[in-house]
Amino acid sequence: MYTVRKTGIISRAAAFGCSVLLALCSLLVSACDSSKPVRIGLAASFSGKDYMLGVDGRNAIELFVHQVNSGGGVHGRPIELHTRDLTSSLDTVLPSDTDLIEAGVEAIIGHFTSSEVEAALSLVNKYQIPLLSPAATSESLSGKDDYFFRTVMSSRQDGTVLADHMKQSGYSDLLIISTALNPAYVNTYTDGLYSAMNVVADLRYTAISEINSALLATVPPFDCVLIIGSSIDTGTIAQTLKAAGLEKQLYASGWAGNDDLIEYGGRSVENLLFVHQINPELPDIVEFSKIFKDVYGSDPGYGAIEAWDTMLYLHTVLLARKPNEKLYDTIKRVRDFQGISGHIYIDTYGDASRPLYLKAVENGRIAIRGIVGD
Amino acid sequence: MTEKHSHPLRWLRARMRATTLLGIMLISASLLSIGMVSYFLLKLVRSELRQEATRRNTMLAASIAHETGNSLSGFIQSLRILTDSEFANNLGIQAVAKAFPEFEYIEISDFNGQVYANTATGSHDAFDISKRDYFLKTVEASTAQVSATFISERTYQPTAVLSVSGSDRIVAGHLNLRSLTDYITGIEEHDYRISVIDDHGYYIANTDSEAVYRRDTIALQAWYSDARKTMSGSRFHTENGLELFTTWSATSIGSWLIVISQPASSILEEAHRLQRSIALVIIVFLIISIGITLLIIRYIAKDIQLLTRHTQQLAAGNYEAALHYSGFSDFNPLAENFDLMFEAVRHREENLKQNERQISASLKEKEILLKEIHHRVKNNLQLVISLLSLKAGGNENYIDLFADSIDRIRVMSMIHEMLYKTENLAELNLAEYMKTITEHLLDNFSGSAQRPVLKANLQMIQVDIDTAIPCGLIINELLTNSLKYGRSKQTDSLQLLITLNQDADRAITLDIADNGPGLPPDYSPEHSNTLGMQLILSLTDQLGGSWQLDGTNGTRWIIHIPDRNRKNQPAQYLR
Repeated sequence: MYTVRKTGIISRAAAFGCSVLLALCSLLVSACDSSKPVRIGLAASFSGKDYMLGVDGRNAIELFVHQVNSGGGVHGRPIELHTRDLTSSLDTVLPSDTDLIEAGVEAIIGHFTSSEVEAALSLVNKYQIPLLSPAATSESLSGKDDYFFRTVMSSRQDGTVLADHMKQSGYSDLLIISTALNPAYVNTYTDGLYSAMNVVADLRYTAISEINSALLATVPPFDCVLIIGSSIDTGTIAQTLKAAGLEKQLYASGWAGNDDLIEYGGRSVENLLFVHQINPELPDIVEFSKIFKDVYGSDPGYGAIEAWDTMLYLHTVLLARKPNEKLYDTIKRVRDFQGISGHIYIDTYGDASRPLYLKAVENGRIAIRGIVGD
Repeated sequence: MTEKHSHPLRWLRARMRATTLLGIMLISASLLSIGMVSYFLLKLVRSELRQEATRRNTMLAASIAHETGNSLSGFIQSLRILTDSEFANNLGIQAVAKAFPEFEYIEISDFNGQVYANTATGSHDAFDISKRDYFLKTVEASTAQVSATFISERTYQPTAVLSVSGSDRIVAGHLNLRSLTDYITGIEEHDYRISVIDDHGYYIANTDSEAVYRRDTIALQAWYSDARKTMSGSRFHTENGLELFTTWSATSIGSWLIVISQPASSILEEAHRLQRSIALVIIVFLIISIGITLLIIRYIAKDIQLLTRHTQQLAAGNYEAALHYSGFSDFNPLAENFDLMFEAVRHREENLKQNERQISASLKEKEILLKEIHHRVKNNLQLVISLLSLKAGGNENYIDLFADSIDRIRVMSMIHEMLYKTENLAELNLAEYMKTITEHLLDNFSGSAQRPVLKANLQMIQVDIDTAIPCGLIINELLTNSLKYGRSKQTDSLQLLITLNQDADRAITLDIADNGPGLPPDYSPEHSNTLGMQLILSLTDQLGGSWQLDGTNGTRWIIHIPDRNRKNQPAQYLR
């Protein structure tokens, strides 16, 4: 009887001790877990020819992380940002992303061009790491149930909208000048144009100097030009066209929708038309621009604005994340968020739906002519 | 006698504790002093090192800023040449570009922003720069301008546009800033890093050139916003977990910051070295101090052990071992006192032994004398017996008349005989005494008649002479009466039963019985006028005792004598 009672006491004491130990351990683990940073990767081109979009986006992302961490992080956990420079080369995409995955990031933000995303897609799907792009708009990335998400809309409509405008303006012969370095994005544009317009030439360049008077002299007659490239490239090509005496109605891709287009294009880009997903006159964007300029001394480009939207989406997801829930599952759950560009909806396949604006350079400024579809 | 002399070891222990405490306090005070001096010394050294680093780095940063400003000024001056109509043509522009290869290209435009001369590879003639920021600022300010930096779309190098305005033209030079990185790399040393930051916080020169190409920015660093408000300054701050000492100085042209960053550890290396040396000194001091203290304690403990052993020898009675003390001088008085104490105890012990010997001799002498007295008393009593026997002169009537007295005197004589034959002169064994008396009486009274049967059960009891003589006389009277009157015709064989006992209260019980005719029923000893019976009763009364008499079946006397300081003896019986 005594032995039984003694064993009982010992068992209870042991059980109590184990419970206390477990409680302490779980408390310790939860304390460690609550202060453990959320590792996020950022991969974009900060150097090389596409640096402007990447640097612009990086500055916004770093500013966002700085603000969140200064405010106590996400549920007390700071965001730890790991950045990798893709150097405007597709060859660096896989090594950089692999490096980030090995560093233990839970998601990768970035890949500002569609071609970079295409290069990374197999890797992030394999390792099940969500990739959130602020600016990749290629249609080839749409409608796939994968680990790729974006807070911008596909450019699928862009070409069609521009083609409609061209036709409405009475143009039929189109010269396309585009970069050869981002075919995924370029093809999204051209796919809609080839069927609608008579494309007299489709010049693809790897260096801007390749587009010169001599080359342009070989091109059949045309009455409008679509330039698909960065803002600097577009501006410079516009100047080259003007210098070659080929002043025609210019169209550009949304990629060129920065003030650099005007800086580099000068008067030659006056009346240039393009479609874009950003309205810089929205109050939240104006507010963001003020903060951005205070820190970096210049207005944010659309790369910064789109990156800020992406970070807002990520932040919404992190706040909505349940304990031990995979980030991917939370992203799939959170289908909309309030961005500075308005309320943005994400579909089942991780593609955003947002307004599309028709813009034109007017009097040395980019002006909104209207919302597509209205 | 003082406390010190009355409790030397306690005083010694207290003294030892005090010494240990003082030693610890001394070490602590020394350590505290060293610590405080070290603290202020380190603080002073750190302050000096920081000031020195601030002076040195500020001077270096200011020097680089000055040099950079001068270079920019030189480049601007070179562009100003082209504002002169005489040189504002392709020939002039090529000459300047050749003289200053740092320019990626130089362009000349009219005030509408139309470029009409430039040195760019691939003609930029007729290009429109009217919307370029540098053009607009130059037109607006009419002074030399340095644009925001950017990465050239041609060279992918950090670039700034220097622009000046002439009377009818704007001259702009696209300056490749790679030379800045080369410049600072040439003067950089291993323990500090020099960077050039533009007015938006971007690196435009850095030994880590990737930071420049990546357009890394320090705009979010806390110290940068302060740095932007001043022309020069310095600050300790933490970057990526590393404490840095950063000094900056702004260029007069372009408002670029020359930033010199140095790990705080390298600046304070001397202080750290000093800190390590001080720590080493303190550790060595501590070890030596503890060693010395332990040594002192060990020596003191050794001295105490020596003194303790000495006192143990004193306790064991060895007074001959001298204390040759040669330890701490503090203990000398104690050791001397120990020696004095030894000498005093030894002297006293010798006196005591001498006195003991004298007392023993005296005692022995007195014992001999006492024995001699007992012997002489016994002889005198024998003489009295002889005289009484002679007085009787062989007449049976006289002999009977004196026999009782002779027996009584003999009983007393026996005691003295026993006493001088024994070692103990103060006491004698009552059982032995009774046996002697009994045997003597039995011998005397037996004669030709049959010897009485004696059954004796005598406990060995030590009594003093004052008890022994009355007891002996009582026994003598009782046995004499039994031997005289116990024989009868009916009992030819007289039986005597003698018992001597001592109870737990040390009271003595004497029981003497015979199987004689007994006593008449009306017999009362108190009314007897015989000397023997009077002696029995008076001697019993003298001893404070009581008696019982039973004369119905033989005669039986029981005398009860209470304790009169008799020694406790284990019960032994003489049979």
